[in-house]
Amino acid sequence: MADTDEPMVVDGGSRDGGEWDGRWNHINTFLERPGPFTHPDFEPSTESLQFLLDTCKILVIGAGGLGCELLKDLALSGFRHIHVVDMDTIDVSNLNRQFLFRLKDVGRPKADIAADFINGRIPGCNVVPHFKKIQDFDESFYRQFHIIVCGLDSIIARRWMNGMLLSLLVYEDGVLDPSSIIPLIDGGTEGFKGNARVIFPGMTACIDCTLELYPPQINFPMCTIASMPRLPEHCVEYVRMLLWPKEKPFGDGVGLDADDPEHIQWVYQKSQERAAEFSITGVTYRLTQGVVKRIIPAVASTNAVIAAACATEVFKIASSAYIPLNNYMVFNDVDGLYTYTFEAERKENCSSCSQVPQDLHFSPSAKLQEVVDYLTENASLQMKSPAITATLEGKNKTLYLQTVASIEQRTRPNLSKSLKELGLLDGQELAVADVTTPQTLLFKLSFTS
Amino acid sequence: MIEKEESIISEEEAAQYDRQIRLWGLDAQKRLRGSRVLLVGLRGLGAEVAKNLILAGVKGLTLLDHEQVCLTGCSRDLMVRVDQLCAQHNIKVFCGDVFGYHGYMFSDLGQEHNYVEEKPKVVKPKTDESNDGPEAKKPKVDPNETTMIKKTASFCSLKVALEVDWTNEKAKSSLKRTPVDYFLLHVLLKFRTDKGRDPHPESFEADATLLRQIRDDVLEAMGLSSELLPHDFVSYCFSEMAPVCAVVGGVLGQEVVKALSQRDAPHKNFFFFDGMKGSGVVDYFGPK
Repeated sequence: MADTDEPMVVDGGSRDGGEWDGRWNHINTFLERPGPFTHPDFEPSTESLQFLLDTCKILVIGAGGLGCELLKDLALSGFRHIHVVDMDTIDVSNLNRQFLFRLKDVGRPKADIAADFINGRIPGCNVVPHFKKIQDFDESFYRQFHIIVCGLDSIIARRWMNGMLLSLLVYEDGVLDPSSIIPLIDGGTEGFKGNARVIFPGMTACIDCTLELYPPQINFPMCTIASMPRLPEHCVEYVRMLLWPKEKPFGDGVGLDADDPEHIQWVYQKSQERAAEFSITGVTYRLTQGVVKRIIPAVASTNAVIAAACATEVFKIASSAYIPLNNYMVFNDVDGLYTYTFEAERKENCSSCSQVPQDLHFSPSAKLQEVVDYLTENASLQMKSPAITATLEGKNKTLYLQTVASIEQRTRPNLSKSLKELGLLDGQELAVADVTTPQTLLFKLSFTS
Repeated sequence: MIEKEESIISEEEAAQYDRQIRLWGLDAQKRLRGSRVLLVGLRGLGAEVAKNLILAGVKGLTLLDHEQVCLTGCSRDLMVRVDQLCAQHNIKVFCGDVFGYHGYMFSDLGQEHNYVEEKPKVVKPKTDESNDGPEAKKPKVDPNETTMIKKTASFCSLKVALEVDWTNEKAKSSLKRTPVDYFLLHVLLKFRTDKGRDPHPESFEADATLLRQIRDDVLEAMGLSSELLPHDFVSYCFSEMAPVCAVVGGVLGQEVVKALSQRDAPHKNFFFFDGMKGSGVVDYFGPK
């Protein structure tokens, strides 16, 4: 694995203006002629290519496994105005698939290095990097793009992005203005499995419409971890969750740092002891690391397939030349190869995109804690740490907020108070904020009996 | 060719390849680390396959390309000859191409390709259990323990795979389940042989007419109706779509990894991708 400091020997940017004869022939075949599979409204012309090259603005979210592939595919397909957002820096374990990065780039921001590579490799392409979280931007940023394509690694981030695009929709007299729709193409992979979907916010199923399709996160029950372990993973979780806080191996107040090999080594040794107690095999250093860091296996080929499916959709939609994927494709090559596309349907009362006011049905004697539990546990809401406010006696009052320690402490007593005690009335509006959405959700409190 | 000496995975490599080692195991990664691969053809598909193989961590990748950029891939005769030559020396062969929205991959891993599959261990139910219900009949599967099951797959040559006889009754009845991509491939390879290049947008009209003529000839020679490939098939097989290259390159790259690491069942023996429908199909063409 020789790593040199020599610049890549690639013909980048040295030609006049970056154009050469026949450069875009492969794109023109799709845009300059009609065909039996083109969109019924498509008019072949030379203008489509110019739109792609000069005007169309694409936002790529994530510059990791999917992001690198997406940037390559889009740049090669003629898109020149691309922005990429990623809050991460490069790690050595990324190098088996995130091919825009080299060993010397470890520690640098992914967005910056990815943009540099593509700009140097594809003459005329201008990728603008943003070493930021998606939440650092507001509507004015997102509104400038024609299409947004995601290669994210968390469901929360997807839901936030979904919520942001829904908030950009403009309704006039109850009718959706189509020019306010920004298509969202979302890809996800895990080992040999992946999926790609096309979302037209306000028109087709959104991320929250199909929230219940995501498999539940693996969280082992406490009783299994504490007294009846069977798997090597249970042993590691025991050490991480119960033994570490008790023994404080690296000092008081020193939390487990998943990136510190010394910490992992300690967890590994203790996990082995625990496993020996229960005659469990399979505890290795690698497994220990995987459990503590919640590592998901990943390989280049799956990312190549899914990112390509997404990039194809970007091309189809940007050129208006072909009917897009309708609308959810799954891919699995664990055993043989399986791929299937189905139309995910909108949920009639989706909490994000249906505009149907969400009701909360509780007895006036129910405690506020029950409302918080409902918001987090309900399969269609799955909030992480909801903050609830209400207008009481003309003033905006925070009933409970978890994410700021001082406010959490102050509002914690409210959890054990009943809704009646808190002064809430039947039909009252409750505003709920959460990391899963950029907009506050409004609920109507409906008292039962 | 896989080197006889045991490959060693250094600590740096274990860190770099960590995410895929978690997918296919350390043994498989060691085999990859000792493999040498010859890659012929460096257009869109070749570039994607090269990327995927290098990222997987093969020891050596030899690139062979006899054409300049934007000219033709390998002719059918050349592929058949290379495949036969490699078979004599026990070298595994992969072929692939992308034509517009369509792509294919073919593999010939020899008469006896040995590999392992990791399956959960089956625990036999105790015979003195009193319940007779359906639960007793189901073998209990222990998810913690897995076992490596050795398997063998037998592949035929490219020549045989392409020369399937469609005139007998058995073949005709299986026609309904056969992907038309197989016949499209025949037409495109014949075009390549006759014209010395692939269909080019600059000569669309002439090439389209020739493609339809070849379709008629090829299907007639096979004893099949030319309706099998509808009139408009010509519209979507010109040039190479980058994303289609990525999909086929991804699958092809993974097949090479599987064959070199001798782990997991290989696709036998064609993979066809239709970018218009977004459908991928694995199918076998050759003797039973």
